[in-house]
Amino acid sequence: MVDALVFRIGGQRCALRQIHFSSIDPLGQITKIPSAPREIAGATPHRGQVTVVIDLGVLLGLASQRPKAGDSGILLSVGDYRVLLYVGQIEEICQVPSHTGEEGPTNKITPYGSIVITAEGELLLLDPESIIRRIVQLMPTSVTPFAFGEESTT
Amino acid sequence: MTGQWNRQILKSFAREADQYLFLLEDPATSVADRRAAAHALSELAGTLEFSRIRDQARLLASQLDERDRLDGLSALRQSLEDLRQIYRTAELRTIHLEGPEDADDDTDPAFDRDAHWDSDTARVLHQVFMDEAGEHLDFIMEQIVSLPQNPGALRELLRRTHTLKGSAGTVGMSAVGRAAHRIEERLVQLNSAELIFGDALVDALLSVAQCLGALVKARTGAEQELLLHQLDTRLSQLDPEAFKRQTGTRRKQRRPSLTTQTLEGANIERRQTNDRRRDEAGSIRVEVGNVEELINAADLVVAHRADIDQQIALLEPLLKSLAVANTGSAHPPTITNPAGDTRQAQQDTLLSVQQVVDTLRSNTEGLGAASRELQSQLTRIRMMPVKLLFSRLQLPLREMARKEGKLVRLSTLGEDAVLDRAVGEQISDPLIHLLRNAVAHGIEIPSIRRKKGKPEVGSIRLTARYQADFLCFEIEDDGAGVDVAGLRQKLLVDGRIDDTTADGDLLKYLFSSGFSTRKTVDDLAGRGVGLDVVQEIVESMGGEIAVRSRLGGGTLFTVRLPMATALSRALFFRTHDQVYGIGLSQVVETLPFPPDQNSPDDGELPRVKTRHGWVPLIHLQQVLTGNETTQSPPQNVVVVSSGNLYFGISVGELLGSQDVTLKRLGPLLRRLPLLDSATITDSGIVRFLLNVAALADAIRQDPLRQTDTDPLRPPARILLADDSRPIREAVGIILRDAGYLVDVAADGWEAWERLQQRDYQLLISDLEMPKTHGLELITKCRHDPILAELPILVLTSRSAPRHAKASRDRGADDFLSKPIQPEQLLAAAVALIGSEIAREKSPNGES
Repeated sequence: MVDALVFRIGGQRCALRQIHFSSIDPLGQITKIPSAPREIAGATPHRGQVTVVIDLGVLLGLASQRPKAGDSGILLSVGDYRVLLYVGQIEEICQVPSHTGEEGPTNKITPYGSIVITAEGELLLLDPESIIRRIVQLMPTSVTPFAFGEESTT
Repeated sequence: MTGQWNRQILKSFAREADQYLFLLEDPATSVADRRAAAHALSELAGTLEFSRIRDQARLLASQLDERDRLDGLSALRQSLEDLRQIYRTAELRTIHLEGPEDADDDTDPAFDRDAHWDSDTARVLHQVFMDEAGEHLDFIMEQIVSLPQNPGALRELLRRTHTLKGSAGTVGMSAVGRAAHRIEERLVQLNSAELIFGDALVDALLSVAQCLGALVKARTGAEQELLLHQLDTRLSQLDPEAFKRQTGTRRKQRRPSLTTQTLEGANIERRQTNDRRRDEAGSIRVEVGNVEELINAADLVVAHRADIDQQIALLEPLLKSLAVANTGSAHPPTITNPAGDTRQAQQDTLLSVQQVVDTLRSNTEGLGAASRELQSQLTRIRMMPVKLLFSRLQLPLREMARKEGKLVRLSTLGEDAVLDRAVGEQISDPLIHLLRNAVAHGIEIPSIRRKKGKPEVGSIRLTARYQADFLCFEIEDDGAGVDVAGLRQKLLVDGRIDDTTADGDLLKYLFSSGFSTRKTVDDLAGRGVGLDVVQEIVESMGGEIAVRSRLGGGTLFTVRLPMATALSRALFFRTHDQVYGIGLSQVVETLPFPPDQNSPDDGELPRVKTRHGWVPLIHLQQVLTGNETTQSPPQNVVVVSSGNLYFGISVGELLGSQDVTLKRLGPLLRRLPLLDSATITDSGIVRFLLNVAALADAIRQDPLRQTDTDPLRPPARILLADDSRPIREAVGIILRDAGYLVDVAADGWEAWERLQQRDYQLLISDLEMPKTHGLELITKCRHDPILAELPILVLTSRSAPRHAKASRDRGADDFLSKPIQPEQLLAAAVALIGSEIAREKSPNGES
């Protein structure tokens, strides 16, 4: 069992191990980032730095409200990457089963972590590295005078 | 196979082989280094299938292996001569004989016409030479300046001059080659004399090096001849007799006086003296605190100027009100149109006030420009190059190594970074301490290193690099590393830990007060004070320090320091319901929309008329949204410049310019080419500044013309890491011919740096590389959250199965041994990158 922060987003119960995040802070004003993928809600000032806010609901393909100033963000630091993760409604900090890294009847691996079985049902135990890796993959890398980025409104 | 390699590859091989030969012949080179050079040459020749050179180098290596028993110095010389003979007369001669007779008319006139290169190759080679020569000359200057503290630098000087000579000869810069040869001859004489390495010698050498630098840049033959003549004059002043140890007074007598020189030489000497005096007079030492006060004062000037702007803005409506009250017109009276006599006095006063306001506005604009310049210059004064900081560390390191009886080579990376001068002053001592730590605790004495199979000379790498808002210093040695088991034992004895403490938590106790792993105390270490103080200083600066170590493999300390923020002025505007900025220095003018514009042909950008002529126009809203139909009509055009390209950007409402504090973007946002930096407003809102250079690049590439390719799906980009330039060029040609984009890195460390900077679809890596070994590079990638899944292909001359196994164990996806088989290489690349991207490789967009 490991200590984890449990939250619910788009009906899905998720958790982050306590050792995987630094703090939970209120989000400041969020500025949209041109050409960024939808999974990135924007950028906000955080401790004097311009910090990216990731919308976990969009990343997981779950329906959820977009983050706004005053909502809570979980500070993740993975290598040189430092982001605030918007996770919707935070429920509690409790002990949850750790995942073994291998598939099993009580342990299914997903692109963003493992699904573990708890007394309250299935819980997605998130892996911060997988989240950052996916966000990096989604970032566009070129500019053209007309079309730029993935966020098209046509 | 040889015929497949183009001249440039062969030439690169020649140059690299020449360097190995120099190492082999240099009596100062250690046996281990000679052996390594022979092996490296053998591998290089084998890879490119120069079989005779490979065999000779292999034979040489085996003789070196047996040197202790055979003492086969004469055999060594003979082998070297054989090798040189083959090298000179057989394969490489053919390159020159095959080349075209004349260089193109466009080629630099300093480039010899009898250099046998086609014009394109000549231009490329010339550019490569100029780049390299600049590096050589910088290095030569540094070595000269360091001579009084480090007489051994004379050998490095000799070595580098020799390399420069070889490069110049290779590319046909014969005047530079001749000059380098004459300097080399004189350096050899100096090297064999017992010299006083004082200021006189340094000055004389610098004068020679400056002349060499001028020769490299000379554009005409006449200029070259003049400089060669001057060089001879200066070399004549470098008579070893004049600088010999026992003849301090004699040196003065022998040094030629101005009267004995030619008039031309005398003038040059006088100019140099004047330059030196001017340089000396042009720099003063200023307390950092005083600079801070100046910067604060400049900030106040900027703030007060903004206040005056506001007051002037308030005066305008007041004047209008007064004008209405006196004349019934909303416009103040003018000199040419005075109002009636009855109100003449009031109107004259009003006119005078208006003139004062106009003058005030004009003066304020001037004050604004001056205060911005003041602020900018003061900010610049506060910064110092990391190179300066690193140069201060060289001398203490040498002293430490000498005291410890250890051989250490310090290599530095990232010297171009700048840091706040105050930060530089504070961090200097902690860095010296960490270097001292590396010498005292890390690097082993030569005999032990030999036993461990390591080079006798230990390596310490000092690196500076930016990470988001931090400047990171890394001090990495290839020494003994921390014995974690021993550390645990000592900590247990000291009662600092118990049995449950994990191994991963032990290293942090190195920063504990009063703790030392060293059993004896000396000047350098063992007193248990130091790392705790280092940590304290770093943390007091808002930074952090970490350590990693591997027993037998070395130790890495990482110091992260917050960067001082930079001030800038930006023009802000609103587009697509959001505010963006552009650095004011890039803004040329602003125009109301719609400006004069022409109708573009299909696939071309529209053009707008500016005072710089017709320039391309891009619609920012379309760029930001990817939507070709604009939702809100543009109101203005901001004309910007990037390099020599002027272009317009259509935007919404202009909001004016502001002084802002720039924030560097983190690694995630740095991946977005459109964004340059950001600022945070007083009300806590992030505003992005756009990257004008990226927009300019997009226009230059003109992707709209590329109808057969998708501009958002460029060809796959491959990073090639190999310390051999010929290999990099050979593999690069194969991959580029196949349509890939290829970046290269000359060692594992550079590869790691490049991997941090941009996305690659494949890493092709050698194993034996300086700074960071290929296996270490693979391991680092696999432990990095972003690079963990990057396809990695190992391409090495180490063909034994154990190397393949080690590579795969560390995480390599595929393994190929040299010599390079193009079809095999491309098949492996396609397999690793995937068929979809492989399809994009064709330059014609064909499958």
